[in-house]
Amino acid sequence: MPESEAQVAISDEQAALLVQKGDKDKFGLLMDRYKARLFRYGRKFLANEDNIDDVVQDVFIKAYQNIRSFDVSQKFSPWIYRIAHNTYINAIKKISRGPIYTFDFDTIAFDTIVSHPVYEDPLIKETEEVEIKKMVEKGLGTLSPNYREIVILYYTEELSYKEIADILRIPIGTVGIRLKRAKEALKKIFLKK
Amino acid sequence: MEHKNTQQNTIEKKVLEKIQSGEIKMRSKSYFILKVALLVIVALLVLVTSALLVSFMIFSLRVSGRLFLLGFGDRGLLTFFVTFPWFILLADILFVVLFERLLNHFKFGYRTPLVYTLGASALIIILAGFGLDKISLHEALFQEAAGHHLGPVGGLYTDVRLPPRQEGVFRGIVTNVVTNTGSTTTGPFINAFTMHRDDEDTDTDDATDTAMTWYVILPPGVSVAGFVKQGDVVLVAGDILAASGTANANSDGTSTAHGTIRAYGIRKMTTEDEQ
Repeated sequence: MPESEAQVAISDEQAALLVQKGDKDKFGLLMDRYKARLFRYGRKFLANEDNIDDVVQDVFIKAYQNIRSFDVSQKFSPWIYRIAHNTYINAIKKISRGPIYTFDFDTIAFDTIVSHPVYEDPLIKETEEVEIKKMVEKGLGTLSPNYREIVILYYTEELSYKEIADILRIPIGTVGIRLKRAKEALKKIFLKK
Repeated sequence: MEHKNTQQNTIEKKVLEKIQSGEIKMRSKSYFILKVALLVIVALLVLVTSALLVSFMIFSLRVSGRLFLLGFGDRGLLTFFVTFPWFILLADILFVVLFERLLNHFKFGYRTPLVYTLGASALIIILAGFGLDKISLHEALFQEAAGHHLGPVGGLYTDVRLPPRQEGVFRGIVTNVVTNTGSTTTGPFINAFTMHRDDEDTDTDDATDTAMTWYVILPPGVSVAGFVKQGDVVLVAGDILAASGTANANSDGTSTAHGTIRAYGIRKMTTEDEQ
């Protein structure tokens, strides 16, 4: 459904506020804006999931049920991505009947323990984007789930370190360090191929 | 591409239909406020329980005299570690971890590296524990427990004042001092004293039972003269010698001491120490 001019003028946060106040139709506007992104995120996240429709639908239902927990002074996208992240993880758990994150001592134990200095350089992102995106397309499936999700959120969904930190509930420095390691892993995979 | 769009639009339509029909409803704002309030209350309860455990640990170490073992050299240090309430410490560590996990539900919690949140949680709990120890909360509870007013919780305080006797640590009152230069009593040892063991009750044995009387031989280099006098309360750590000694425990007659302790550490307890 294409958005009307009046709808385009409304930000996600303003639309969410209207939904909170009872304007149910504005939730349609939010779904319109996020459905393609959440489908894309879901397809990459749940590589082997057939019923992606049901999972994405579940994300929107949960978002609607919990929309009054959304703080309209914050950005809407990390909030809905957080719901999507949890829903997708639950979907994977249902299939595998076990935790999806294998215990990766290197990443899990240490990268959230200490503080890593982090600097998000948009110039670096721009210059390496084409190259990395090419690598992501080819090597994403071979990455461990921790790295895979970070790469999707940063390069495909184009979210900032801060937004990713809020979605995954990890320190911002940890986002930086995982992304760096993910890129290194991708480069290795790419060179091998 | 067209299939994708149709797929996405169908979902959007389905969800909107469910919303319009009332099949799915928004949760009220109060539901989320209650959830956060509950989380805060649980976090505070965990914090208080954990601080109480820390203060109880400090209290038990202090009133049983085990804390003073640290001043008794290597042997004292070893006994301190052997008799340390590790179970309480372990339970407390679990509470600290639980508190840190609860903090992670808040933005400042998950955005801060684990080492800082865990360190800050531990520091807050330890400081709160020392704070609770300072306000003599456990002394009051101990008194309540002694009067059987605390129910099952009182059981925690039953043996808390007793030093670890099985490890050769005793508290008692000096009954006689034995010196090599004209003591009030004579016995098989010099540079020693007899002690009436304090068993933390008010039985009839407290005044008369010889099983409560022990010889204590002082560590080398420590002279009994001027160190302790009759009536002093002392904490003694040492090796229990197998044979019972015969002692003139009282100046007016003889009695048999229960045994002899070769002390490696003695501390004269002040009123402050016992509080």
